[in-house]
Amino acid sequence: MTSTLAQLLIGHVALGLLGITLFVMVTVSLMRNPLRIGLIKWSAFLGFIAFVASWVTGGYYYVTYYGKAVKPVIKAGAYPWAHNFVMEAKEHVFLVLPFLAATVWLVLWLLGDSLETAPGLKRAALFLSWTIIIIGVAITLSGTVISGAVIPK
Amino acid sequence: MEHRQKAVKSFAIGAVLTAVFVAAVTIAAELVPPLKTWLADTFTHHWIGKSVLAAAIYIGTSIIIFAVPSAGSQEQARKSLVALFWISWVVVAAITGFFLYEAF
Repeated sequence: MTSTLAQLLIGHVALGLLGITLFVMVTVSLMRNPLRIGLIKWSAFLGFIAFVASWVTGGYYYVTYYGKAVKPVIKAGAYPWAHNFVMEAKEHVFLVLPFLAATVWLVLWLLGDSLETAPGLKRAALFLSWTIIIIGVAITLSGTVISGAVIPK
Repeated sequence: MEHRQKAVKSFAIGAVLTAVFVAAVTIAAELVPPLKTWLADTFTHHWIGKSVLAAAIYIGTSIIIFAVPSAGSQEQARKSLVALFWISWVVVAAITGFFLYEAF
């Protein structure tokens, strides 16, 4: 692997974790009263940007390197399910995440100032933010499983 | 305020349609190899194809829904977000369940 690809892979992981962390801030802030709406809006926006950046960096690594160099090793190794199930599910479930993040950001950006007087809307945004965190953590753990399965026979 | 509520509703419905598309194209591309080949040939890689089309559907459908004359309300925005929450989990379960079945 070239150093550029290694940096992209590190960036993919770091940006994904940053996105999750920012949505943890959104979620915790949405559970508090009074709302610090400025903090919530910017956390959601930066979280969305982090997920998009993770998408691009991870996508470049996946398309140019993973399929040729990593996937064959996993499939020929002791844990082929790490690609056949975990990676396949991870790479496709991930595609939902940036759009969830964008939508939560738009809710907070456009209607954030009225959330305190709209508990139903606030609860819906909170549940979606939780969903982003849970999917993000599951994807992170999947990446750990995939990395651990790269063991030549 | 009403047009902001309508924008939220539009992008939430756009996200619902995108999530459904991601699940449908993912499963269909595995079951119908020519679809996966077409995605790979058209976009250099099937996953890039799914990514580009998902982004286009999110932006395109959200703008179209917003452009259709209708009133926006806080309740409609809430309902569309709740729908997105449930559909997201259905899509995650569908994709995960499909690859679980395929792998084992």
